[in-house]
Amino acid sequence: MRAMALSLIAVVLAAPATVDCQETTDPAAGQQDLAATLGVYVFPTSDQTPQEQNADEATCYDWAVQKTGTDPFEVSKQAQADQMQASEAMNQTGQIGKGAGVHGAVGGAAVGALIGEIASDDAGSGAAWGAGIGAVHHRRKGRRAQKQAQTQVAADATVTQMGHAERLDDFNKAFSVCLEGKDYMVKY
Amino acid sequence: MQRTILLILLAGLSLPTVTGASAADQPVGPAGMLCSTTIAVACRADGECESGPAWIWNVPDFIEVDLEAGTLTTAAENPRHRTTPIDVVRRDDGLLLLQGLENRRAFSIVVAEDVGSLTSAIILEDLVVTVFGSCTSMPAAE
Repeated sequence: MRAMALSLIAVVLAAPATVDCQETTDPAAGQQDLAATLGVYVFPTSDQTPQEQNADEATCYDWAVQKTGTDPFEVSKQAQADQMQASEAMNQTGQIGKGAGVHGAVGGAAVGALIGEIASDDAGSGAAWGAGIGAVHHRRKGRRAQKQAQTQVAADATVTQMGHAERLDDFNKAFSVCLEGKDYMVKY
Repeated sequence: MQRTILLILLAGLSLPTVTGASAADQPVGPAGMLCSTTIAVACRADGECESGPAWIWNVPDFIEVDLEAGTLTTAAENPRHRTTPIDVVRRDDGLLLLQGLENRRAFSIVVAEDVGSLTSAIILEDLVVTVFGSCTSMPAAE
């Protein structure tokens, strides 16, 4: 039952896994094993059968989860959720500063200033102002805010992705150590 | 005969000059002038520019320049009275320079005293609006 569950996980993990996984197909089994989906190369050095190897990998998977507190399946799901969230946040930054020209209509020049109301949105008689370049000053400030927000979102997403990568790396180390203890040669 | 033709030619050549001088006779009076604005070009710091009628940038169609009071004001007919003090008035080589600063906007206005052409720049952060127009003399208030 556990082996079945892990096989299922392996299949799910295989989807977002990198190209490396495709190269780690177990020639003996003729299909991807658990290690392959994690991007870990495992070779039996004590003539273990594919069935024994699958069982050992399942055991080591559980052991590594316990040791590191990281379940690659959960990390994968989390990474996808984070990616969607970052994408959504990036879309939202597109809205930042869009009303800047309109906001400019509220603040600004003192009433009655001749020069002081030029290129300002708040002119009483300047109804067409919003359509002209007069709003560009405010729009430029809006774009500046938008760019800053996008940079921040991208930076946050990068930090999150690095966090996921570190956790997976940590897991793979534990997984590999476990398999090495069971007489397998492991590279990742 | 040749002399006659030459005189006619000379008279013909001098005519537009005389006419032009009388039409723009002292565009800048001692009291000040009435200026009309026509075209404006606005450029941003990123290099994008737009041009159009000056009113789009809320530049009044007519501006009275009172050199005695040191003010720029909208013409009396304008329903919205606006005024700006002039900080600097300088004359040099036939050019009248007016400068000032109001509400984070610096302005420089140059009027050619012989023909009354007006060239001005209103400078904001990241944006400059250049306005063109022409001026004519305004009688002193009685």
